[in-house]
Amino acid sequence: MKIKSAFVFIGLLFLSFALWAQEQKLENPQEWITKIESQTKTVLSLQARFEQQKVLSFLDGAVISKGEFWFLQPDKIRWEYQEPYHYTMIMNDGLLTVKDGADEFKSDMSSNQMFDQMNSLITGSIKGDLLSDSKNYRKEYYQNEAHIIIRFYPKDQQLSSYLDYMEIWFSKENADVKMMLMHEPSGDYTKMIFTEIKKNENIELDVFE
Amino acid sequence: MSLSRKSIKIYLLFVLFLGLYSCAPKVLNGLEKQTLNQSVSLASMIDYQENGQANYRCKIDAFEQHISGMMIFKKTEQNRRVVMMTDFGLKVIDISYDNEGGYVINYIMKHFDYKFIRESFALNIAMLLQTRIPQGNNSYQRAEDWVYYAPPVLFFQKDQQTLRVERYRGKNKCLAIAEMQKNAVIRIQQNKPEISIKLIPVN
Repeated sequence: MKIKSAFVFIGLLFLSFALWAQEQKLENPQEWITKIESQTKTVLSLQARFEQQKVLSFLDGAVISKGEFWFLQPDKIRWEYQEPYHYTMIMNDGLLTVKDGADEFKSDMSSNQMFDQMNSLITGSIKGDLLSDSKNYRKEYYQNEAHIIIRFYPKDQQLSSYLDYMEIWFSKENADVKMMLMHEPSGDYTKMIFTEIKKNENIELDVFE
Repeated sequence: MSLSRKSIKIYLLFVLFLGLYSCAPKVLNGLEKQTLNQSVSLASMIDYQENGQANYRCKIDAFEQHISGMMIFKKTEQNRRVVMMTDFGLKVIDISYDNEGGYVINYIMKHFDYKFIRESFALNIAMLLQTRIPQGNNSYQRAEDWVYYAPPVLFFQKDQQTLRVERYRGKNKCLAIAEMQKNAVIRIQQNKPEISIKLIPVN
């Protein structure tokens, strides 16, 4: 009887943890939006480590890549993938450069609509511009214990054909972007988790060359 | 009764058609042919892990565009699944291949959804996946290589390893070549339209 009670207790404990960790609708979004916007406006540069987790329904586990990320106002971005394969993507002044071993490819982002849209999403989420963009996105607001979660549904047909919605997880503590989740119409998704975030430290311009 | 000019034209076209599709590629001329009395298994060009998955870094150049990302191969007893994703992780194309060489495109990103892109992509990747030459096809020996012809594809094997695959249209028109290079890198080169695919294993 004692053992049975112990199992029931542990079960209830796990259930309460699960409920606690779950996302809930945010009742007062405007208050948080104002707070996040005022914090993100102060971000002039950002440096972080990232882990990209790609979840495909037919695979047993996520496909994981890791690397480093740099951002400099207004729109300079460097993604350096370090594991399991080393390559770098740089977005600078409308130009996308991919460095991959001895290969280097440059393309104008305006001619690559998909990259242009993804770049706008990423810079917009770091700078906070997306929060006030009602023309291109419908938004839903959630929270869990540590995060404000904003879900962006694209209104553009082309973008919504490959991106069902995107979630940005802002830290409640300091409004840092902790995670971006890109959910595809098929149900597959990509998580981009940021750690070791450093804001407003000096970044040399040649990082984006 | 003499044949009409139209009938002669149709006959000539028929003969030309047979000439194009019934003959083996010229590269096999002079080699001794053996008809397979049972199916033959080929080594896969794809280097699968124990769980049946293989991850490759993929670089594609086509129509003056460059696209890169990850290509994932997953094999089960029933089928092969191949997915290519962009560097940001968004799916570009998702194809299932059955063991008989048929394929179904489960998804293709709207930007790339054109018939010739779908077909080129599916057929070029299929060159890497076929591991069985059915009974009734022909094999040829060329020095140390074994060459198998399962129309319209030629497979070149050496030391139990498939090193080169060629896809033909007609007798001599080689449309695409898949070749194993150093460090298990695979390169696929298609002509007209020109498409170059490079796959680098990242397992």
